Amino acid sequence: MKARPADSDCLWRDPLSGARVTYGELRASVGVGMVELRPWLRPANPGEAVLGLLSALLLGCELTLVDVDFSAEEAASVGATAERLAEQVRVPGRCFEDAAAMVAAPRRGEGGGVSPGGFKLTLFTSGSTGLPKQVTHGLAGLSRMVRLGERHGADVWGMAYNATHIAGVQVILQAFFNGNALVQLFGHGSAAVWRMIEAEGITHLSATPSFYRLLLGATAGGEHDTTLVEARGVRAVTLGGERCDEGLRARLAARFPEARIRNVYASTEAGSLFVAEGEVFSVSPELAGRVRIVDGELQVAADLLGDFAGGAQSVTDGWYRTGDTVERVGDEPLRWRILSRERDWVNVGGHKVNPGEVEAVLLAYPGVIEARVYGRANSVLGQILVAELVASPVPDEAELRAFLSGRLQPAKVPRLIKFVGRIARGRTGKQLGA
Amino acid sequence: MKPAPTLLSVVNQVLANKRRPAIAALPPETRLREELGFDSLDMAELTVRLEEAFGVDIFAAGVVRTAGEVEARLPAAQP
Repeated sequence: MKARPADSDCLWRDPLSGARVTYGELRASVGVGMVELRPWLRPANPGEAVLGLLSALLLGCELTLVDVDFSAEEAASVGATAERLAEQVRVPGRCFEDAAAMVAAPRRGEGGGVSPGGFKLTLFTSGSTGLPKQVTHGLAGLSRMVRLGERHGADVWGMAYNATHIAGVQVILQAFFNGNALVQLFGHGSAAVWRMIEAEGITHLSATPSFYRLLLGATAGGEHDTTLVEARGVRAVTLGGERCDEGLRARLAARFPEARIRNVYASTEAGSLFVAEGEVFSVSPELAGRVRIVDGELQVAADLLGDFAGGAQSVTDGWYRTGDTVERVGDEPLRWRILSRERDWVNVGGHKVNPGEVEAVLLAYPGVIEARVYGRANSVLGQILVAELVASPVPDEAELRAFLSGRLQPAKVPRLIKFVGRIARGRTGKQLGA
Repeated sequence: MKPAPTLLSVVNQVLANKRRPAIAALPPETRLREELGFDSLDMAELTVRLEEAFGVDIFAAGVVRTAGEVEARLPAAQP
């Protein structure tokens, strides 16, 4: 059997732009005498992020990944000044016998370069309020959920996350450690994504519920969707980042009939922690005793978190309070169902509103593909509810309001409804920055 | 191009969201709560919409009751 991957095997490609990176190119770029690396990287394209991340990993260096989505103000607030982004360091290169030896090296704990084993990755959370927070992870935290093995050797991953976010990094590591190809999907339209799933032979998808909703088409059930296809080549569909409803699972099962559908519980603070098939999450044996439910809130042991600049907020006596409301389903292993995620409740004149509840009602309206509900400071009520919607076709606002009024208490009906082309998740500062 | 927003057009937008008929004129003495039937949610919506249109929080300097008091806090240059 031939060793995998070969130098000529693709590591990352974007079929639309034609850009690609092979395992051999990565091996050559880290294999010279001295390698020039940028400790702060704001990648111009996902390929650059993949190369920068894996070079830092292979050479045992620290890397800070800055999202291209950051405004100049946000970039400056996290220290990503133009000078810093232009900075380069020279570190000793590392020669690998072949590509297979290269992908095996980091997981054997072999770091090279200036500080053996010194790989650390700093990312920025897209918190629901305020400016981004900085979190630093080591390889152990980032690769907690990586699955290895012969059976993963021929996997082809659809890259459906931003490569500078933790979920994207985890997909890159999963693919790299198994010598797989990553096919760029993030940033491409749904029609192109469907074509690529077929033409590029994608077997694994990992994305947010919003990504899948867009992919499945705006029409409820997708019956009127002329692009209706069954993607039988896809064997695994993973959802993460937001709460997933059972309706979405059912629609995914129809379009990906051969796929295992799983939910992953992950956060920028802790990385991926738990997996559910269906709605019920459970604690894996390795994490037993490091997860608990107190007054309906999920808490995890603080040592599972990355390192925060200035210390982690919400840590009490060694436990990190996730802010997620859960319902206990069973013990040993601890099992639970998520009722609402870490979102801040919005206080509208004394009425506590759960934005997730309002989003769920909005998503039930025909044409609504994506919804984000948040509070906006208001001198009359403290906060007022605002909804941003991606919809196709754009619904009549009066009819939508009547629909909402019939299903929600007055304080829960968003007073401002904005139709937008896309929703930048969790960047309240940017959206309110006008 | 959309016509520049006025206090009247913004008030009518809030009324439309309440499924109430539009009004043709807004004399300064019009009382927002009693005459237009605005509750606190409507007042909040009005302030946010005016803030978007004119960049001014009409409640920042205390309670307003009438259309004239609102008008007085909006930038003078508007038609």
